[in-house]
This record gives sequence, C-alpha cells and structure tokens, in this order.
Amino acid sequence: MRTLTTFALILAAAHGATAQSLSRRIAGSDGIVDVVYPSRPGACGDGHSYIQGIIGSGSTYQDDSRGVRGACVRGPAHVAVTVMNGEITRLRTFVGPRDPALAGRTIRATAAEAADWLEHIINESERSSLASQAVLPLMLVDSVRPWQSLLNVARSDDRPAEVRKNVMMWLASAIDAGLGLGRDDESDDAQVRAQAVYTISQRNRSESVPTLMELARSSPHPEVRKAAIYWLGQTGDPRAVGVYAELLGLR
Amino acid sequence: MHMKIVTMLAGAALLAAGHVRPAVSQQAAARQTDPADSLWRSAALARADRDYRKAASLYKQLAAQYPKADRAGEALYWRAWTLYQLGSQNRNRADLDDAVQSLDIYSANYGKDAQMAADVTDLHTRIRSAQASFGDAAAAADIAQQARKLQQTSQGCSKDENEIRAAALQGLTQMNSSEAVSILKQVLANRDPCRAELRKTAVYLLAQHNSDDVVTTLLDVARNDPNHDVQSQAIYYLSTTRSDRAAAALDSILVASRDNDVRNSAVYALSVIHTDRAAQALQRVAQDERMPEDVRASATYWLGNSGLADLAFFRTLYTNTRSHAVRNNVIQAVVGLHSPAATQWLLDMAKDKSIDADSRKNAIYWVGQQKSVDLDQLMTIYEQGRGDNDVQSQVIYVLSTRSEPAAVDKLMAIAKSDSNVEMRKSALYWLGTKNDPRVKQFLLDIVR
Repeated sequence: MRTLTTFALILAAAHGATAQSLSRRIAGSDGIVDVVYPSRPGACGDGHSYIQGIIGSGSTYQDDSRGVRGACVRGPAHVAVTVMNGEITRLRTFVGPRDPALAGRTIRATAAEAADWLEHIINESERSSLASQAVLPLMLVDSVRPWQSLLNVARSDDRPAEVRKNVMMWLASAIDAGLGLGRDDESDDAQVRAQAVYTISQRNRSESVPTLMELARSSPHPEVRKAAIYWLGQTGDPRAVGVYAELLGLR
Repeated sequence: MHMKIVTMLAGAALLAAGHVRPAVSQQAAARQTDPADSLWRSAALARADRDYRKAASLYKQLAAQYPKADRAGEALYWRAWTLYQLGSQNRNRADLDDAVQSLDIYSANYGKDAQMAADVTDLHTRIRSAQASFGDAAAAADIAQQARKLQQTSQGCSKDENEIRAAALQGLTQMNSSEAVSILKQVLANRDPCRAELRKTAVYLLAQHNSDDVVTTLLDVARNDPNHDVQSQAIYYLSTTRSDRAAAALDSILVASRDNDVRNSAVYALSVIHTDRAAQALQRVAQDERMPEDVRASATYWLGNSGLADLAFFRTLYTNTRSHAVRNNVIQAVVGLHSPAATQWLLDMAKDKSIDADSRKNAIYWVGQQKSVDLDQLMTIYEQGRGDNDVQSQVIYVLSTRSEPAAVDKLMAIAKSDSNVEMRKSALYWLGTKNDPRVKQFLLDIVR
C-alpha cells in the first residue's frame, strides 16, 4: 500500500514537472509563442479559421471572424500563446498550414507535455477565459483521453462557471462520439424533436433537468439524445456531471 | 444606580483586557461625564424622534448653561432649526421669532465657521420667508430686499450662494408680493452660467403666475437662454399656459432652433397645449421631410398619443414619407386612436405584401396587442404570409404574447404539423415561454 502511494506521488510529481517545464519554456520570452504538438488522427484545419474532426468526425470549431474558409489539411496542432511579462494571457488554436508571417517563436512539445501543460492551465489558471481557451487544444492532443480530468473540473466548485460550461460542452462531444451520435439527421421531424429538447432545457430546472437526464440516458432518437446530452450540460445543474460520467463509463 | 455599576464594570473589563488605549479611554470617560455632551446627545435623540419642542428646549439649555462648550454654537443653530419646523408646521409666529433670535445669538457670538455661516444664512432666509408668508411685514421687507440682491452679479459659482438665493426666491413667491414677477424676470435676464439652476427655479416660480406678461418672459427664455435645461424647462411650462400665443411661439422654436432636444421639448409641449394651432404645427412638422427624422417621428407619435390627428392624416403621412422611423411611429400613433377603422387599417397593413418588412412586422405586433383582433384573424395573416418566414415568425411570436389558452392551441398546431419546419421550430421555441400546463406534455410527446 505504501509502495503504491509513493508511486502515485512520483507520478503526480512527474506530471507537474513536465507541465512546469513547458510553462517555463513558454514564459521565457514575451510576445507570441507557437506551441506545436501531435494532433489526433483525423483532425484537420485551414490554419486560421476552422478545425474539423476534433473528437470523432462530427465536431468542428469555427471562427467566422477569421476570414474565408480554406482547405482542411491534416497536421500537428499549433497553439499561439500570447505571453506578456512572463504571463500567458491568451491561447489561440489552429490545425493546418500556418502563415509564417503570423507565427511566433516555435516550441515543439510531445503529446504528454502538451496535455500536462493544458490541463494545468484548465485546473489552475485564475483567468477564466484562459482556462476556457485551453480546453479546445487539450481535445486535439494525440492519444490523450482527458475525460476523467475534465469531469473533475466540471465537478469542482472552485473553477469558474464559464470554464465548467466549456468543459461540459466538450465532454458532450466526447459522449456523442462514444455513442455514435455524431451525424445529424436533417429530416424535419428530427429537427423539430431537437428543437423540442432545447425548449425543454429552457423551462424551469425542476421540470427540465429530470427530463433531459432521462432523454440523455435512453432516448431512442439519436438527435434527441445528442441534444439532451448537450443541453443538460449547459443547465449548470450538478446532476449533469453524474450522467456524463455514467455515459463515459467513468466515476 | 444599577446602570451606573454595570457601565463601570464594563469599562473596567475593557481596560483589563487591554482593548482600550488609556488616552482614548480618558477622552471617552470625559465625554461620558461632560454634561454639555450629555445634553447634546439627548437633544439629538429628541430631534431624531421629531420631538422638536423637547429638542429646542435641550439645545437652549446647552447654549445657556455651557456657552463655552464645543457645540454651544451648533446648539443655537439646531434650536433655530427645530423651532422653524414647529413654527412653519403649526403656523406659530412666536416659534419663528425665537428661531430668528437664536440665529442672531449664534451670529453675534459664534459666527466664525464659514460652512456653518452659510447654513445659518440659508436657515435665516427660510425662517424669514415663513414669517413673511404669515403676515410679518418686516420679514416681507427683508425678503424683498434679499430678492433684489439677486440682480447683482455673483463672483464664481457658489452652490451655497445659489441655494440661499433660491430660498429667497421661494420666500418671495410665498409672500405673493407684487414685486415677485418683476424680480423673477430680472433673475431670468441674468444669463450668467453660474445661475442656471437659479433660473430654472425662477422659471418654475414664474409659471405659477398666470398673465400674458409671464408668457412673454417664458418665450424669451425658451428662445434665448443659453442653457439647454433652462430652455427646455421654459418650453415645458409654456405648454401649461395652454395659450395660442404659446403654441405660435413653440411653432417658431420648432422651425428656428437647431437643437433637436429643444425641438423635441417643443413637440411635447405642443401636444400638451392641445389646441388646433398646436395640432397644425405638429402635423406640419411630421410631414416636413426637411426636418430631422427624430423630431418628425416624435411629432408623429405625440399626434397619435394626444389624439391631434385622425386616421386619414396618418394614412397620407405613411404613404408620403420616406422615413422608416416616421412610418413606424405612424403605426404606433394609429394604435393610439383606438378606433375600429384604425384597427382595420393595421390589419390591412399586416396582410399587405407590398409594404416593407419592418412596417409589416410592426403592424402585426400592434394588431396582436388589440383585444378586438381575434386569433382567427391572426391566423389569416399567418396563412397569407406563407413564403415569408419573417412575417410568419412574427405572427407566431404575437400568438405567444396572447393570454388566452386558445393561443397555445394555435402554437401547438403549428409546432406539430406546419409544412414549414422553421415555423414548427419557432412555435416550439415560443411555446417554451408559456406557463400553460399542457405545454410540458406536448413537448414530451414530441421527443418520445
């Protein structure tokens, strides 16, 4: 028992050490730093406005303010980190060809280093916007399943509501991918059913949450189940995290 | 005796615990035992309880028995203040006389504090005004003299000075003196920026007098005062005179002014005057395409709200104007007419595919707020709006604002089986805002 505890402490220390090491390298120079690390297979983007295949085929991140959409090119993930006086103030995430004129000093990281560093920001940063910005790049890290860690964030009363909502959104995508709910049924009835789920989610919580929990667990309609999982997470109700853990097969 | 022992024990306990530094405790002990301070606190409590008679007596006792106490001067001020409350509430001249006497003693013996001196002067003016209004000739003369001083130019913008002057002006008006209007006019003639607040008070006081002379002065202020707020105040009070002369003058301000806020004040004032002349002026402004759009829109709104134009006028205005803002206000103005013909015109607008989308949606909204328009009429607009999602969505929204349970039936029917999926989704969205108990089951039936 004692050996196990010691081993766990060593692992935790190593985890913290890799995150700190990458953080130190990033914080070493002011301005924009591009942290580059291996992305999930299937992830692609145009390097400036959108990313596809973040978790499974159905999840897309799009920033309409960043101009016309280009071809979806596979490649490593880039996180453009803004550093001011040694402090990280902003993260922007890209996949695909980066315009060299926009890129900063490049720091290459392994998937494990990137995951540790990003989880550290999500768990510890006092800037809620920064912690929220760290969730998308964490989703993109190759061969990493951060669900248990993110569930812990979602459960934590210490983390800002904005961060927990963002985490719940990505956990919902992970559940969709795991349950094979990725593709939308575009039929009229399916659209109406999904809209009805949204309408239910906007009603008072005593009415909406139990219904959404039931639909998320067992609706026979994929679009209803998908909408229920998503909107349940956005209610901010603590019972939602339990349903998510159950659907992810975690604690 | 029992209380005294408890206090001593508490003090000893605090000292023993080291919570009170010796110097402070000596000061506190001195205060506790200072009879002047004790009187001061009792008087303040009586004043807070509005027991002004007791407070006045305690303040008098303090000033008489302890003339060298720190607060002896203040006690005289507060004695005068409490006596002023008693005198003005009960119309008791003796209390007012005592109040003035108390302030005189203060000024003779303690009047070195500048802030206190300003408060004393202000209170003195108020007491003299009250005395004058109760028929004290000497006080009336005193106030008139002070009011005459208002003509003198001030140095700098002293708030205290202006407050004292405003108090003197009010006192003058309470006296109903023949001199009052003349002095108010002189105050208004002095357009010193520091006196804007005083001029606003003067406008209000002048407007309480009803004569042609007053209208002339208010018109002059409305047209020429350099301060925007004073101008607007004069315009507002001109409307309360309800004279055709005022209407003509406000009309000329509408044409000549370059300040839209002043013009909008004139529009509102004309709607209050409510004469034929005022109606003509507002109608001309609403139709004049060279006028600023917000002034025209405002004139349109007030024409409808005050019943100063009929449906025919608004129909013509709607057809002729190029302004969206005016068109939208025409629709609101027609709502204000509350007539079957007006409602029918709005219904026609709601169905008219040739008019712009904003006006049509606006008309649908206002039609939907009329109880005389039933749900079937709204559904006719909905059906005739097929092919235009904006129009149909607006009808759905309007259905959600209706309180009758049948509106929920209409929304549920659209959500269940409309041929346009976007309308089904829109109906579902607005159903979510209804408290009707059927909605919950309806939503469950859809998702299961």
